[in-house]
Amino acid sequence: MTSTKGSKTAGSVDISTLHQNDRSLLTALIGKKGISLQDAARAASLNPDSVMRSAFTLSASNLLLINESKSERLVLTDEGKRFLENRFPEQRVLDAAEKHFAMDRLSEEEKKVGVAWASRLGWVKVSDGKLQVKSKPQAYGIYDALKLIGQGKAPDKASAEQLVKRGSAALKVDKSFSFTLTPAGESAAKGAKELIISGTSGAGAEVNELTHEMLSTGSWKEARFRKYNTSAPVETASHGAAHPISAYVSRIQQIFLNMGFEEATGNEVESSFWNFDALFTPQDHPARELHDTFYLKQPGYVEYPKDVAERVKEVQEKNWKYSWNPSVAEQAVLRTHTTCISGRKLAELGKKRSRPAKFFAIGRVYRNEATDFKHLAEFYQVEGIVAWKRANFRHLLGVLSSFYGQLGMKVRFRPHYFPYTEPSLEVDRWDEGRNQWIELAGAGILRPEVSMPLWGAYPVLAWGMSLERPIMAKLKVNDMRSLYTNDLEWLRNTEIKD
Amino acid sequence: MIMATMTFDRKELEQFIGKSRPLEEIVDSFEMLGMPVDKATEDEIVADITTDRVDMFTVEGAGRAIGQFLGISGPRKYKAEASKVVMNVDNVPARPIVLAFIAKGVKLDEKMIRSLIMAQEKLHETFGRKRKKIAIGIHDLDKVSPPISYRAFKYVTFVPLDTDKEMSPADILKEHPKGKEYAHIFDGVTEYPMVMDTKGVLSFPPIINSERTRLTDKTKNLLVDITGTSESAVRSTAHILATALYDRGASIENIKLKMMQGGEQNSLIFERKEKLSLKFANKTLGLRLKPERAIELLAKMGYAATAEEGKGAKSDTITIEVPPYRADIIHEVDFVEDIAVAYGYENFKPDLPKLMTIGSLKPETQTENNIRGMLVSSQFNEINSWTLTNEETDRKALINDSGVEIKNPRTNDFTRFRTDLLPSLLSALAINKTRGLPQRLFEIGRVADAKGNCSTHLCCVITAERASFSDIAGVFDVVKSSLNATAEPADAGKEFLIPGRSVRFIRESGKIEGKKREADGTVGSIGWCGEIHPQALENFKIDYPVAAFEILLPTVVPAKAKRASRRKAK
Repeated sequence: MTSTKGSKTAGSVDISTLHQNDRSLLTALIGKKGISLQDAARAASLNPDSVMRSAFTLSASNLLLINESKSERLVLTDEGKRFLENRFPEQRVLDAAEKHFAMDRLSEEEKKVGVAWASRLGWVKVSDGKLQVKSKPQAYGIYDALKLIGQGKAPDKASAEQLVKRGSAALKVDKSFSFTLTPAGESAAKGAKELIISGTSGAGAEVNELTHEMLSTGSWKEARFRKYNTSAPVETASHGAAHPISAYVSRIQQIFLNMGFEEATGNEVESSFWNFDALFTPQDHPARELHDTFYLKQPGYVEYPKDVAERVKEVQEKNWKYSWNPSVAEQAVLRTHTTCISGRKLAELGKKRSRPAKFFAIGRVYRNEATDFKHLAEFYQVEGIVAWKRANFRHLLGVLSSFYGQLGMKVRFRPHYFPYTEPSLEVDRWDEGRNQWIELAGAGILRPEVSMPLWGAYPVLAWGMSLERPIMAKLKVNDMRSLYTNDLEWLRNTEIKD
Repeated sequence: MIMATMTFDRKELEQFIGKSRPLEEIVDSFEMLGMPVDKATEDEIVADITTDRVDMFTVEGAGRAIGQFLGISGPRKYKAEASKVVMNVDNVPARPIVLAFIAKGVKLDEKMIRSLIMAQEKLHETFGRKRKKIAIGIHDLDKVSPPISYRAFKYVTFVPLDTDKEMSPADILKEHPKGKEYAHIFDGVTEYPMVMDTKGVLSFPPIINSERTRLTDKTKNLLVDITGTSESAVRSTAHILATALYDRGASIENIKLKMMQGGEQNSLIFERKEKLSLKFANKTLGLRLKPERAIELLAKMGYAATAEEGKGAKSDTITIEVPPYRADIIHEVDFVEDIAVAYGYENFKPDLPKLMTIGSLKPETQTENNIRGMLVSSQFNEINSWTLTNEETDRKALINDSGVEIKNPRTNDFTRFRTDLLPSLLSALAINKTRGLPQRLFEIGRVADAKGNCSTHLCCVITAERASFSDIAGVFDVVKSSLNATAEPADAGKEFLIPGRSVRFIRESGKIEGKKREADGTVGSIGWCGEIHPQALENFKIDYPVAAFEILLPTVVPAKAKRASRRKAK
């Protein structure tokens, strides 16, 4: 290696023409061997992508050795993810067989893939176009293996091979890099360090960046621009995003606005009166028990309007035949549904001669439940109300069809029971992936015992649903808690699409 | 709880449907009646029965409902003969209501016993509020020595079911498994209810029967007692069991109650007639049913109904005989729903209400949406956290405000409502330590003060190699016009902020654009902006600096909290 006066060179490379990042990396690596990408990034105060770009440049000039190591791991394919959520077609076929479904209720996939596997495994047999259970397995090993992969763990080898063969899982190669300077690199690094200290740069050098000065003086005309390695990996620009729940709430707000509904809001801390009594819930009802509802120590009691209470008391005593206790109604709770908001709003409209209205509420509600993958102690509820003396049951079905149609859902209605509506119905949504109807929302006409004391008339159409379930279906999320984990990676990469 | 899961034997169910039917048809009928089927096999059907139809908790009742729905059978008349047995009823304050009846000519096979026990258990559990509101005792009538009575005892002994020794009520509540399970019902009670005959105790409701009158496979005749706290619930239960046994071929005898304070009454009152206005039904459903059609639909639901002869207002009134087992009919709308169910929900033509209204969002919701948009375009990521938190988390964030406290928390995680958003944001930064820098997060979320007034806050945080006051103050500048707030150069005085590096926010009340601010026009501090104290960061194990601001958004009308009331709730 030689060194010429006036310019510092290393091999055929003129250090002064190196990009500032390249020089930073060189100096950061002096005297270190096999330093990892992350450590190099920290030492050079560069981000990992810039380090990779510089490392490629330096390696091309034989100043640096890049050591690439690979490791393999199993990941789920799209099909695998779908099976993780909906289970394997053969498992679904077994279910169908247990429920005595006819063959034509199976999806194409279940017919083609599921029946074949389920028969081969000896779970079911088909006779006269009907499914019959032969033997029900205790567990299904490869589904357990699929779950393990979903959790980022490694299943046993045989299951892994079977899943790869079926196309439910695939091997993914993770690359990692480490760097060591070559001897030429070491000496160039020392030169570069001096250069950084002296702050000079060689005359007539290639130019790294186009600057304001070059443009204003016109010196860019003599400049030669250093070529970039444009194939080196780049860092993704950071971007902001609304939380998926907010995004979905905005969509629902828009639909309500389209349909002429006004928004109503309310307080999460409520009196038992608005949460229960005003909705015709007797004071001995199990829903009011401590294990379903959060009662409060502070504030212990919340006021409620005495004029509405008079009417509620009368209805309660007449129908439930007990002596209504005003201090029970005063107990403070965390509201268990958004219907308290509707109750208050109806009472307000009731004072204006049962003014007709269409309104909606979206808010957090609380249940005294242990949190797990499908139960939360707090979640969102959406509620819609049509208070109109000429409304009827068909209007309720029409409003529901329109609302869920705009959310892109295919729905059906079936009879159900709710304590404060009559007639009542349940809205089911067709789930394409699971090939079945899934419970979505409750609806009905508020009982006269509810609507008369509040709004002063009948009928009031009402429906409500939790917000988390449709969002989970949309995002293909299995664990309800993940909506509240606030993992930045998930938040950045999750988008509510139509 | 609005549903109970019931398992029905297929053969037994078909016996009460009146005909053997394909499984699909039975499943469909359950679902069209509003009872989702969990599982159906050749041998049994598992269905969720909603608690408005407790009559369908019995296999007899479920079969009857399906048979009528499918048109295999029609509305039924139930009869009860007057029994020679009478019951003398004392004043029993702990459990004031009692009724009893006799069912003769019952064949107690294994299946029937299983069905009877299942129905009894589910009735106790749901309708009976875990035996508090109603409880059922069933005895072998031929082992009973009438007359019978219902009385309150401080002390009496008998041999309870499944034991072989004489026990007093106190012994039973302390030692017998059923006694221990339901002992709480008698908290503070010193005189216990007993159903007696001339030889002693028949049952100690709602705990246990006597061994003496236990049912066996030779039992032909039953004595059924129902006790409780609500007359209507006790009566409905008696009717449900009596009609079920009647459907099984038993003959039912009504026991007359002789009240100690005078007067007599029958245990079973099968006759009940109500009126329905067809106009009201049609208006509510949006249909134009003729009386004959309405009567046909009511028959599918088990009602015998008749319309008045004639035209106009006369034919509008339909007289309905309500079957004694229906515990849920309290208003005309209950008939209306049954008409809708019989009509089939899928046969209704959806229609949109012709009610012109203008859609609108609350101003505070619009503000939230605006702020969210501005922050997202400033490369902030929105988070969404639990509003419930605990003392530990607040303490870590150096927050000592007192807020809403839960009386009956289930876990240590959720014991209070948050007063500030900052702990939620710091928790989020702590879990995202591996997600690279910088991080810019915000939350628009609900908080509550100690009086229970809830409001919406906005909190923004930045964490990076360097994150200073000026970085976060710049973000505040982006959104401040929507917040209608100004920063005052006074230290926020918060323990979780580095002293001397913060400001507090104020909002002018009633501010009008372009007008001068009144001298007293401020409403005090509504938030702060500054650098988070390293102690708080260390508590959350955050090892990069954090700059943040939190501010109150316009609030909605709050609930009026009361000072702890002197009146104590029961």
